[in-house]
Parts: sequence; C-alpha cells; structure tokens
Amino acid sequence: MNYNCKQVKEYLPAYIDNMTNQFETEAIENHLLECAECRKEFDFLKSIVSTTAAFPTFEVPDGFDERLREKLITKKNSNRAAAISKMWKTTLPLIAAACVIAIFIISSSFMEIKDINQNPISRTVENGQTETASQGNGRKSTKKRILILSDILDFFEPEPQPTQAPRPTRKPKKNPLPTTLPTHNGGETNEQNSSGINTSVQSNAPAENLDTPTIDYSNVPPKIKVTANVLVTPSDTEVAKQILSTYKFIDGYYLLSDAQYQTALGNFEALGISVSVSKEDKTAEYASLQSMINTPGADKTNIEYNLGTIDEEVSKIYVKISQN
Amino acid sequence: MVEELILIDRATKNDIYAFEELVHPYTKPLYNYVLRILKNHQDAEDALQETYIKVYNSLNLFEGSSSFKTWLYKIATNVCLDRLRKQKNESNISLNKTTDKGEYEIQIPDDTYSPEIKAIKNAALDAVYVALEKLPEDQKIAVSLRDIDGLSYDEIADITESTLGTVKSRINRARHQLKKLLEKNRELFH
Repeated sequence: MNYNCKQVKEYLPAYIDNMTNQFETEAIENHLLECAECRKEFDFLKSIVSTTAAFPTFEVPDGFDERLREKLITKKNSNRAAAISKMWKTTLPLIAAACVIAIFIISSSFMEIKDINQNPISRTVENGQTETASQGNGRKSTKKRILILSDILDFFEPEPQPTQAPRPTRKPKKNPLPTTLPTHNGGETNEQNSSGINTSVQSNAPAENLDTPTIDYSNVPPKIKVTANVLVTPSDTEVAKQILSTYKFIDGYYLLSDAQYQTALGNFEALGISVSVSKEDKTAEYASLQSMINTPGADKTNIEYNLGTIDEEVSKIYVKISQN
Repeated sequence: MVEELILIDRATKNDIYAFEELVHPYTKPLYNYVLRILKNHQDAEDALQETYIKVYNSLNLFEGSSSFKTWLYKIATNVCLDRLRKQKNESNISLNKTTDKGEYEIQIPDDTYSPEIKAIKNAALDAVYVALEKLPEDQKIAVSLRDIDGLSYDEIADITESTLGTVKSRINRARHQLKKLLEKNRELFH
C-alpha cells in the first residue's frame, strides 16, 4: 500500500503514538524512507511532542499531607455527627413515646392497687367472720398485677392489623432515603443490597413508572444525542446530586456514559425519582458532513472538528436535574 | 492492584490512614496535572484537596470498571473545569479603586502562569505552551494527558468520558494545530 504526502501528514500524529494499524504503519514507513519533506515534518512533530513532555514538574507544597488529613478528619467527624443526628431524630420520638406509655401504665397499676386496699371487698365466711380481700391471700391484687404486666408486655408486641385491599398507587419509595448508595458491580448480579436497591440494571429493563418512557439503548441508532431530565421534589434534590456528583458537570448538565447512566437510572427508580428522556437525531447532519469532507475545496479541518463534536455529543448522555 | 483494593475497602470504612496510603502514589503527578490547568500553586493545592475530599466521600461509588487512577484524574479534571468556569464568571470590583473619572477598576483573574513556572521554561517550551493555550480545552486536556502524563488513549477516553475515536480525533487535531501555530518558531525545534 502506498500513501501520498497528504495522507502521511494526516496520519503522523497517530503514527507517533503507535495508534495506526499494521497497513497504515507500513505505508507510512515506506513513504518516509523515500520522502525527505515528510521526514522533516515527522521530525518537527516529534520534537513538539518531546518538548511538551519536558514541562517541568513541581513538588507538592510542604504541609499538604497534614492539611489534607485535617480536612479528612473534619469530614469524617461531620459525617459521623450527621449519622448520629439522623439516628436520634428517628429513634428518639419512639423512645420518648415508649417511656410515656410505660409511665402511664405503671402509674395506673399503682392507683388500682391502692384503690383495692382502700375499699376491700368483704364477704362473710362460714365461721361468720368477715374476710376482706386485703386480708386474704392477696390473690385478687396479684392477679391484677399480673394482668397489668401482661398489658405492658403486649404493648411491645403490636396487634395484627386488619388486612386491607391494596389500593392502586404510583410506585412508592421502596425505602426511606438510604444512608449509603449502592455500589455497582458492572451489572453482573441482580442482588439487592441491604437498602433494597438493585445494584445492577439491565439495559433493556422497562421503566415501571408509567410517566417514564421505555428506552432500549441497545437499539438506539449511533448518532442520537440523548438528554435525560431527572424530576425531583425539593427534598430529593441533594440525593439526586449525590448520585451524579462524580460525573462531569457542564452548562447545567451532567455528562454520563451509557453504562453510568444505566446505574444512575437504577438508583433514581429505586428512590421513586422519575426520569424523562428526549432524543435529538444527528444522523442526517453527520452523514451530510461526511459527504462534504471529500468535496474539492472543503475545509477538512473544520468538518472533522464538527464530526468529532457530534461523536462526542452522542457518546454521552446529558442528564439534568429539575425540581417538580 | 490487590493491595489497592484492600486500601479502598478500608478507606470506605472511614480509615483515613488507608485513604492517605491509597492516594499517596498519585499525589505528585495529580498535583502537577491540576497545576497545568489552573496555573498557580495555591489554586492547584485547593483543587487537589477538593478532589481528595470528593474521592473520600464517594469511595463507595467507585465502580471498579475503570482503574482507580483514571477515576482520580476524572474527578480532578471536573474539579478544575468547575473552577475555571467560576473564575470566568466572577470578576472582582474594588470599590476603593476608582479612576479620576469615578469609574470602578475591575480586577480580572490572572490566567497566565505564575512567575516561578514561567522562569523555568525555555524558549521552545514557552512557544509550545503559548500554542497550547490557544487550543480548545478538550484538545488541550487530551494532548496534555498524553504527552505530559503519558496516559494511554484508553485511559484518556475514560478520564474525559469520551470514546477512543473521539480521543484520537482530539489529539490528531491538537497536534496539527500546534504544528501550524509553531511553524514560525520552527528553528527552536530540532
């Protein structure tokens, strides 16, 4: 295979990085053996690359590790405080309610016993004497105390609720806000973690929420730009942002790959956060640019740039958070 | 690699010392990477600290489908780009500094390299970095990660969340553009 000078110069940046295939490499090397001008271009480009690589490196400033450690400890403590605060907020009312009820029951039982002692029930026994309950073997007050104790024990075992016919509703939240988000293991398992959130999502799984369209990404044509709109309540905004926090954020959109989006979508669905999707078909525009590139006089650099821009746009999914 | 996974697991359980050991090998190259984007030591240190805090908070989200190194670079890149965007949007108006006509003097953030960085560079290097600054941000990051940090095309694709084809295209266009911009300084390169 033979390349002309124009073709060789086009491939030189990739050739320098060993990113050309076997045939391209062979064609370029054959040409460089014979063409002094292209050899000069190759040397010039290589020199630019090696000069760029010689940018000076600097040591990390003194005290960096100590300053980082302080911030990490502060963060760790604030995370712990937040977790404890949350725990208290959920359990303290329950503990308080249990104490109040226990105090009420115990105080009620003492009032009942006092009442028995003050007003003993009397009967006339065979020998004509009057026997009072308090003088007896105390069986009645003991029975009362046992009954009250069983009431206290019953308090901690809730009575079975009467069954009700299920009402048709929108998909409820499976769990309260999880304290940690699930890890994703490349979609290889279908297990749920302790928060009940799926740790993998199949790319063809239909959305259960009727408002969310079903998108089968495996069949989406290659030149479609996808924008996903995550609809949250004000209280869910921070959770949604945390799910997306490690992704690039630009001009109001988080930029995710398809795999990353599937993971995020699974987390949103598990929390009952709906997502709507819009698509922009750039196939025609891409085909038009491709047909222009070989037209005589065409600005190849500019067309390649625009083609690259479309490639870049459709390689990502643009995710936006909006409040309901 | 296995050792790294063990450290990640321990760091996920709030073991700060494990976290420090985990990120230590990457600190110097990452610091120099953010320094090249932000161009001064104070901003670079702040950005790297912010990156590490984000990483510490998000370790449980690390999927393992990419390497820990590229995940670190990815977060650092996003932190730097956020800072650059904020710097672009913000301008400082000093109310004390008015001209004779009563106009306010607006201070625009200095986006050139700090003096100690400029002092080290030679003429060829200086020419390359002036040319690099004229590239679009995505091309500049791609060629910088390739030629200075020595990362592979696959790693760069992962860090910049783009395809291999897009990375090839960016580096190709960047190098052609650099050659064009440096043509007049050709004698510096031999």
